Amino acid sequence: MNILKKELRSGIKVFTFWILGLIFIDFAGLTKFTGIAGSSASVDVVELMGRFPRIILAVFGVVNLDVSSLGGYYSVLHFYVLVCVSIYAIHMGGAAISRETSDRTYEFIFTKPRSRSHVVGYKLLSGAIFLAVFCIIHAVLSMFAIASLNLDGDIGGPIILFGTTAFLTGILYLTAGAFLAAFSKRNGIGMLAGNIMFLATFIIGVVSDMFEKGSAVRYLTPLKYFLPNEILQKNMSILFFVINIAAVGLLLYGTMFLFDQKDLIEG
Amino acid sequence: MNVYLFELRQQWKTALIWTAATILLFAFLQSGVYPIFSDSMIDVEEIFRSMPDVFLNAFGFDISSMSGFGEFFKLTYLYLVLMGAIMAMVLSVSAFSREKRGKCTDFLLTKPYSRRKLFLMKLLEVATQVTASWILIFISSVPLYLQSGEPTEGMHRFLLSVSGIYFTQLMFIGVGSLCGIYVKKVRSVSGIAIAAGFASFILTSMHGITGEEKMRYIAPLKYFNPESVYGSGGFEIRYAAVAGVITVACILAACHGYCKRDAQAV
Amino acid sequence: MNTVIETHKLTKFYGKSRGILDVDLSVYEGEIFGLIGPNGAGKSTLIRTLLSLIYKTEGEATVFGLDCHRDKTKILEQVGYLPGEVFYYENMKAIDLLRYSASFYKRDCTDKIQELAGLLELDLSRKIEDMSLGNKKKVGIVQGLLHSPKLIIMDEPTSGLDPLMQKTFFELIRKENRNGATVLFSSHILSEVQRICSRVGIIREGKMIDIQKISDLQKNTYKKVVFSVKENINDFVVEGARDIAIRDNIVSFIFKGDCNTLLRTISGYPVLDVEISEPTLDEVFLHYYE
Repeated sequence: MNILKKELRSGIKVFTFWILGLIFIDFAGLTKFTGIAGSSASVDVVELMGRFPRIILAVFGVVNLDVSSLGGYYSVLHFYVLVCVSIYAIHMGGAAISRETSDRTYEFIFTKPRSRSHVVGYKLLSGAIFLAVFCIIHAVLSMFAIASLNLDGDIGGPIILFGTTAFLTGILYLTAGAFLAAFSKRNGIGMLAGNIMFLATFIIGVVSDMFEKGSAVRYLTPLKYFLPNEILQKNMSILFFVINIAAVGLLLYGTMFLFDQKDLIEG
Repeated sequence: MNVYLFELRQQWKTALIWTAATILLFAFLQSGVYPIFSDSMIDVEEIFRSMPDVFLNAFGFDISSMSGFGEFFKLTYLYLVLMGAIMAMVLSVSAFSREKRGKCTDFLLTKPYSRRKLFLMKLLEVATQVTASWILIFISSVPLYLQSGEPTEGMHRFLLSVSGIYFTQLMFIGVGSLCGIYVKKVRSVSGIAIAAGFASFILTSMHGITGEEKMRYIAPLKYFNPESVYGSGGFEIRYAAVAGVITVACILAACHGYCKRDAQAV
Repeated sequence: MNTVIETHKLTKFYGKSRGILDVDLSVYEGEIFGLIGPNGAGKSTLIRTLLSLIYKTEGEATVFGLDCHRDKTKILEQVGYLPGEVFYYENMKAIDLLRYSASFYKRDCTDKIQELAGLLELDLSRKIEDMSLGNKKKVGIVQGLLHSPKLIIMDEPTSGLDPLMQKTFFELIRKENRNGATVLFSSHILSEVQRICSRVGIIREGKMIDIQKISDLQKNTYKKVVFSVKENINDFVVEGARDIAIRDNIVSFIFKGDCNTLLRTISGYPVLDVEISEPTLDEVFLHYYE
């Protein structure tokens, strides 16, 4: 518990910074949602969008979404939040492994009577807590912002699902960041690997959106495990929940295993 | 020149890899994806005409004239400029935080050079790399354009749009120098670069989705918009000026910090 | 006597480069054991392997009869460690760090922290990052001793401390030792080791080349002798001298033997100046290569 407390305390500054960004996206974004929904009521937008070249939709990040509806509009903003969650998560994951060696405090912490898995486990737990709070705040802010719009229709249910799935994606990136850092010999390389992984999954995500049958590519990028249109239409596949959680478990195990074998040296 | 050459040696590989990755993505989009896009555009024009204006406005530009090579570039520009911005950030943050990361600030600052000179050498080095990278991207965009079968008269517009990436990169060199010098502990250069790049990406996309004109001022990746190159033939002075002011302000502040601040003890 | 630390053919390679080679070492309960050797000899590697910061390539190492790797946490309960260079978390006051450190052990360390800080004249309310090297080191010392460990391991503990503080520090270590703590520390200063240790292990190029009792070592202490004379001198012989060099009327050699004989011999020359000093480590080590 002492490690957890310390980690939470030292992480709060960065957390505040991310929350400010979140507030900006949720408020500045959602309150700008105007009456597109009302004016296009007569047009079957989804049907229209279906005839659009998918590539355009992919580039705009609106595949299978009706941006003129609140749900579709929210999905686009949510994707930006998801990008934030993922970057934040992958950095925390990498830091959980490499921060003590890069700050040269490892001789302090790892000569205490605790196993390495114990120390890293609590560090990752603190990361998961930050992610959870981040996602909860995201959901609450969204509800407030939407309530201030005075619209008909309720998307409270999906908003909670959006928050939950963002958290799941977050802990996947968290453990991936930790795994890559534990796998790499030098700290700089581990953090770099995490950042490259994020960038790669981001680009793969756009590419997977571009192609109709991009579903095989979808497995490669956690950003696309929980698609907004599936959340909104409530036809989510349990498969991706399973894959996500299994991946978290495997990465966590791999992290602990590799980190336990590692010679702790400066770098 | 020794500092300049040293920095160049330190990170030419990084620059080369990023340039190659950007060119690959560029080529993939413009020659791999474009034909698919082009084919599907034929019957799309029809659809556009049947759409309500409000809906089209949500996309942030005139969607009815989207076929064509340049038009497709407008769509993909955001991703290419994102890559470019991250690259400029990586090089700049890395160069300006190198001694801090190696805990050897004392080493460089006790050499018989003024701090301003050191700063300028590093700045010049990053600018050289970004410029060299841009030249490669610029050159590779010529065959990409020609193989698309578009009329050669339109090429200058395409090339000018591509240059928008370069101008945006110059701005991020400034931002990067500021981060490299003022961030107290640079743990991960790529982390800062990715965070800054995607923050810009999100701000820019938010301008697109909200359609709020004022947000354009904080949409860094659209300061040099290919949109206006294809529309009015050049970049919009107003936003180019914003970019210029940001670049100069960042560099001045960074230089001030580099010259005036106490060197951090190890 | 119970052994606290026991290694057998302990070997560590960093990839292909040598860390330590076939180190056999026994440290007994209640003793102060010094590890001495030049830079890069493998002192830190040995210490870090014992602490499981790095892992052995081959051989065996036990502390308190427990395997260094497998029973790491059990061992560390009773170990205090002071690293060579101390680095602590940013933005933390000394007292916060020490409380954090104390929270890892199942005992109340508040009094001990105050006692140690008082002895070392350390201001606990200051931020660690603003402290001088010496003060950071003091935080490290308190941090290593606050839980009254049974085994104290230190890596070049006196570097950065002024001579007065070194004295206080050694008194502190002696006191912990009298209260039952076993001490293992590394150094490259021979006199420091001689002053406080009961036994010393000499390590060079990764190998433990000799382990001696300080009492034995003192019997055959090496001295470096340099004296200059008025007139030309061609030859100089005294029993126990080696590496004799004569140049420009200056004689220098390493001496081990009866001091009376030495002084008598020297006084037979028209001496201008004489200096008898401790040889550098390297000069002592030469002996181990003969």
